[in-house]
Amino acid sequence: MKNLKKILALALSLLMVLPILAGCSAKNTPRADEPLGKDLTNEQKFAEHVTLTWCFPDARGAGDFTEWDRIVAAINEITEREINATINIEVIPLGEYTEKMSLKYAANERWDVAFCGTQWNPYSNAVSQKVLEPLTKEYLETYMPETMDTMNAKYFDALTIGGGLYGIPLQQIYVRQNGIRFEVDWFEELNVDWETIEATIDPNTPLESLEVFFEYLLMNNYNECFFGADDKLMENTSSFMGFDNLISTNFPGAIRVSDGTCTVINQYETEEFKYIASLMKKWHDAGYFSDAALNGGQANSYYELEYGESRHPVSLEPVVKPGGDAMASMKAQYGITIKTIPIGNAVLTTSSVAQTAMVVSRNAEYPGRALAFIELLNTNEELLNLICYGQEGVDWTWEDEENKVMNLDDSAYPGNEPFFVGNTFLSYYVDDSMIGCWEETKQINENAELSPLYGFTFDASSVRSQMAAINANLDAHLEPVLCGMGNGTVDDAIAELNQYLYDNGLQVILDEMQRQVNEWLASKQ
Amino acid sequence: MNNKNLKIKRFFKKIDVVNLFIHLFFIVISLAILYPFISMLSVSLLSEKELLQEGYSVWPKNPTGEAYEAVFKNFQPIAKALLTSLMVCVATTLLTVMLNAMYAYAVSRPTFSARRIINFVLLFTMFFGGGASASYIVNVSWLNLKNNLLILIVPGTMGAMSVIIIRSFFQGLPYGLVESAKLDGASEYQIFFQIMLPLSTPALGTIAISAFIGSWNSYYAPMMYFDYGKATTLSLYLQRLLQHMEQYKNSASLTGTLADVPSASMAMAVACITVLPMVLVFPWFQKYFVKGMAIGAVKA
Repeated sequence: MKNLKKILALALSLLMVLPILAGCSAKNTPRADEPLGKDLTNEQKFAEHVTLTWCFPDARGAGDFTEWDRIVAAINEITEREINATINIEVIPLGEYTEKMSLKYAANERWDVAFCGTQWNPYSNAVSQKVLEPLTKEYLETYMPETMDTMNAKYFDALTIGGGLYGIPLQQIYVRQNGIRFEVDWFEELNVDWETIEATIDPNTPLESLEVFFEYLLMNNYNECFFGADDKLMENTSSFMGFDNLISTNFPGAIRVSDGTCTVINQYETEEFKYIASLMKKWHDAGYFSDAALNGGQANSYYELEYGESRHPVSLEPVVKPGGDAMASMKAQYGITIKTIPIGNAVLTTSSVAQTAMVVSRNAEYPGRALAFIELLNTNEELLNLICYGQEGVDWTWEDEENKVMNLDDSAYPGNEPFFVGNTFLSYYVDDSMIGCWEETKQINENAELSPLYGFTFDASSVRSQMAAINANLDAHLEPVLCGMGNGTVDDAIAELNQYLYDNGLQVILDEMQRQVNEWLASKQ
Repeated sequence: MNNKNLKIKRFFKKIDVVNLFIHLFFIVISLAILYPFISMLSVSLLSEKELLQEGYSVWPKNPTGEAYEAVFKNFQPIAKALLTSLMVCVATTLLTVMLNAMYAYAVSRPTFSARRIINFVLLFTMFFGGGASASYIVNVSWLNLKNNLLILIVPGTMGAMSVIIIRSFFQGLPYGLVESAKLDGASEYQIFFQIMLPLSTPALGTIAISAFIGSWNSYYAPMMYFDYGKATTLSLYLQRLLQHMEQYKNSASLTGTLADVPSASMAMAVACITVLPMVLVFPWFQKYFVKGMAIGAVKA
């Protein structure tokens, strides 16, 4: 009986493992014989009609739109005309995207084109799981000629891992430069114009310069919370402090961009962080924002308390971009004007480029056609705007056709963010204040300073358990410090935070980071 | 004076002091459990402005139904999701009760020689699960159950705990019942359906309510196994509604209409709507539930 039980237990365990092994097995779709060659015509390349499955991260609820089928039909009209392909759009709500894609990878499920990034469906994880098609020069030149011709080759370096390219970066603002965001209307009410604001901000100590405004608001009986403090402080000040983070802005492990030696540091032990944390403590104690910063991560502004709308006269921004969709949004929602002053240096980092990319499945039957579809999203203005804003004349009209400004006032179609779909620079402007901002953004990308670690991607596989231990309670230890509410003095609060990090294995992670950085630097020489 | 003392003495004689403290203790505990539900209901009736200005309160000053209005704005999909949920819950409950009872009856019979092995197979699943990836691979790649409502019904029906509870109950019934029924010429099916099942309502009631609640609250399976727009259960629909609303609020080119949706009160309204059917169903099964759990606890 005992032996029988043992055999049964073994058999059941094997039965349990079997599906995993089956998932890993190479049950690949047969690869079609696609023509390759720079000089092929579209007729030669796209002779056969194919169907591609596109995993579409739905950020705004486009899939819930009652006339979604109309949008899909219009999309397919373009793709069938241009690349002889029908696109089967698998809508996945953004909040579920990463998890669903992970299971698709595990189950070897069929898909062709998908969005990858740093935050959603992480690119480096997908590469390490070997589920992405390596994009060879031959394929790229055949099926993405226009993108290859127009896109600066340096952007592909950010997505090159172990010598292979597995994704195409989606064009948008790549540069990371933090900024201070002002809601100009507030200040105009108090007779402070934009020129005065600009002149008051000292480029060397921009954050301290804000205290003049805070005191002025206090004098004018705005009682509390006019600074938008939140748990995203590291993201909003990381490039200002001069860091390039190896994992994320909140996770310890970074290099100083100005430091030529590429020494990996724990940013929470630096003078730069101490400076920011001290400032937050000072501002919190002075009453510039309230303890509510810890509730839901953001302080309710005075305006929010008064009118039920989330607004702050002053807050920090992670990325300053010309025109900016946030600015247009604020104008559209509340009719208010926001303006931003950049702080710190504009830096191009690996993660800032790899944050939004399109990838092709290793299981794709027609990888060339999948690339051709990505090319279309990168080059076809009509297609991109159809997906993001709907059909001209039905979902939107021209406000100013010459300058490509659309009017979305009566639109019911939720659409999607262009940076989840394709080339942002092809999207039409949603507000006239944005005119010309795409050209300006391209220039900023081109002229940005390169981080010394540009092109390096940290492989976290060997330190996963330490990372999980730190992540388990990182926010709970970090947020009080970021919101100026740590125990005792700032030094004590920072020491407490670092104690937590080292107790959970930070040193092992930092050593591994340094080892990989050194290896990468050596391989470049 | 004497008369007064006598009255007090009589009063304390009438009430059992220990009992009084026990009652007070449980009243306090019940209020502590009830309080979050009352707050949930009251916050769902608050306007966003009142919520921000006054904070959370048990009695809203100006109750408003705007959060419920926002949830029920699109009635058709919510009604469809509700129907799907009900259908899945009822099917899961019926199937769970029937399959587990049949399994439990077989392994409860001392004359069934393979019962130890079958029990072992069952217990094995209590300690080792397949995990998300393996289950997904089996259900999608092998059984091809993606976008099929059966995926919400079938995998959850058999449960080791449920079988143990019913098996313990069957074992508690006198075996003479089975033997005398046999002598009277009853078949196995007649014994099971006409004698054992009607006698096991407490155990079956417990399994039924656990299955119904589990199925009602299930959010992960519909999310993972259904493509967008194919089928949605109520809990998933409401969860997605909240997600989208947050995204709407933060999204770029929003044109105004949804910006005023009260997010905190809407989240609470969603919680109330999800909980309501359970609140209605639970009292019917409660007496079985308590009894049935006790059976499982003592005799498992």
